[in-house]
Amino acid sequence: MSTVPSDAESGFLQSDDEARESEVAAPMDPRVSQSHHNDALPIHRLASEILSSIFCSVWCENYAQDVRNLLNLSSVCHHWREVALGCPRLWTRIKPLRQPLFDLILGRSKQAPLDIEFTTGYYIVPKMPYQEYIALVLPHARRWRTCCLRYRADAEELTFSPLESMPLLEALTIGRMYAWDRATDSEPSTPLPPSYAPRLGVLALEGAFIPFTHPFYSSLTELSLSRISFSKLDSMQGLLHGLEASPLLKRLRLESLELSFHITPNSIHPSTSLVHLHHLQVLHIEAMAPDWIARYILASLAIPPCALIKLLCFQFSDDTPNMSTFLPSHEHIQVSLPALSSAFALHITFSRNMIDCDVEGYTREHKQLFAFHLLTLPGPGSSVVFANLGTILPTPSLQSFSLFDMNSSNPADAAAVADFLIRHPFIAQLGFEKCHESMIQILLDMSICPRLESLRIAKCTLSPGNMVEIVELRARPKYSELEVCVIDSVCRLNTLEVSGCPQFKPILRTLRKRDVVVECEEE
Amino acid sequence: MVNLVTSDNESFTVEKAVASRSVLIKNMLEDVGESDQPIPLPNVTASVLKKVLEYCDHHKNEPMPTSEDLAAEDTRKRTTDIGEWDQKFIQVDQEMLFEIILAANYLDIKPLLDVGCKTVANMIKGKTPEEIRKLFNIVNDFTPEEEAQIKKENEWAEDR
Repeated sequence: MSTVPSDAESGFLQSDDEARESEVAAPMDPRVSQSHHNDALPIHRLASEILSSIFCSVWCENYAQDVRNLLNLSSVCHHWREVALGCPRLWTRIKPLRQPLFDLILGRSKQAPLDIEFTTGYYIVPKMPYQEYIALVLPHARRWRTCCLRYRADAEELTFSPLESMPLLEALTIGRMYAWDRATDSEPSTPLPPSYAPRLGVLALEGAFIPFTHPFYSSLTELSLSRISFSKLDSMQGLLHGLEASPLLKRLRLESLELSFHITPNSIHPSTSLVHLHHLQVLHIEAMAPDWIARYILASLAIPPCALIKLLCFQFSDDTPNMSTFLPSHEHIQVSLPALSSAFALHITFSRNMIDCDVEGYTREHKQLFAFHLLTLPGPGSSVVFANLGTILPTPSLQSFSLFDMNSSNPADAAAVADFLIRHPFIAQLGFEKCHESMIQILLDMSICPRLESLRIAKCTLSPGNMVEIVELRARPKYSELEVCVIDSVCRLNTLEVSGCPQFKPILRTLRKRDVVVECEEE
Repeated sequence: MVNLVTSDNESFTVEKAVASRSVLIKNMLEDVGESDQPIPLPNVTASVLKKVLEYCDHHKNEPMPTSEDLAAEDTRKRTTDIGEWDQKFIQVDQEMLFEIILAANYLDIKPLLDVGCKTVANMIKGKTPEEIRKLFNIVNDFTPEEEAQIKKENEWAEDR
């Protein structure tokens, strides 16, 4: 440790009495008149507590700039320096720095709770080695409020021992830097002894593993686990016990968890007792290997209807042919995962030549209920998605459907969309954006969406003739109430919204001859 | 309705929901109960109160800060983002800005105090000490010894 003169030693912080005495002793000292000038300034009418609140708002993500800002604030005038140095919480963000500056900042934090952060990587070279950093901050573990340690698995070992209790610790992140670094349950990368952290609410492990029996897993409000390989089924099941210990969990993120041994889905059964997470707001499950781990976890959870469920990076292949590989049973979804079965509106978006598919469910009030990101097989993949909607994924309340970027000209895809719509006769709002005309032409079949009230078409290549035909079939004639529609119940279309479709401009008058409000962006 | 009287003896009659954005006034109303008595605000002038009430009126339907929000006061603010309306509202000269901050502090209107502090923070963020002095007309009153110490600290930072 280098020796940094304390601020008291350097004689900066004179008391008011000392200041007055020096004023009397040296009445001509220009510094005194300068201080008087400063005292009379409008900004110095603000109490010191307010000035320190202002200083605390000068926060910058870039740590070097943040430190620069703090040093600047304490270099303006005597009063500002006094306020800055008298506000320990200003100096509580502790990352590696050159030693004299590190000591200065740690010293100025006095006894305030600390935010510890060490991050290393290919492009980030910390100002001090990990072991040196941890040796400097570990004696202050009782003051840690947040701790984030991201280290290189090949060069550094996470050593907490001997770990002191951390009575103020609220958030802990332990991570290996690189995406290819995984932790295994057989060799916990973080040999943490049971430690005292009664306020720990947020735990994130990235390529690091702490056994689920550790007291850290109790009373969490946020838990994030990523890049962990399980070599034993017990460890996987231990996750559910870990969740049981945190019934107040609000956010749960599980990403890239894998089983490193072969086991068939049939030989593992969901726990008979459900883990009830009544306060959960967000459930995020991404890239499980095999996919059915997601189903196993979902089948073991009961979460409230307001929780947002995100299931990302699930692949359709010969082994995982449909959504049932990662979704639990229909009955379980309806009873225990109601967010998945109560969508009023569905949005389906394809990208990367129909390989990526996003399925999103919303309430009538446009609140998102769930989001799936699926990797479909070119060819049959998209058909499988539509076949699964309303069958494997329950959609009893669906009344609105929007399709984006489905530019396939494959008749099988149009047939899949048609089949999906036929199975959802209560859909009243339809939207197509950047879709192939064959997807919209299916509306020429009156048995599809018989209750259609609102149609939105954006940036699609549908021909004007087809557009006129669809409107004439589905909207009542204007001013002719006595004219009889072929089937009155199908003549309900009352709103047509078109944008990015210049081919419709010449037919707008024709369309408006029907009893339908036509909104055209190009007009 | 609530009647507020400023230090320069001007009266403002406002809705209870608007006046109650101030925790000070809210507590006074709860203590006094239903009363026609005007509430004196000896630390606030009419021009400042008018501005403060404009803020309170705009935000009258928003939830009051929770205990969690207040607990966050113990940590440094990680964002200096200010809402669009608040940004326009707080576009005033320095003198008025500090008066609004003082009034928000006295009247105990945490969200307004927060807007004021963030505004000043945004003004000084990234500026050198000399630029900050110029901004607020502050004079450098450090002794040569103090200057030397500050210089040393800054050198450590440059050397990062």
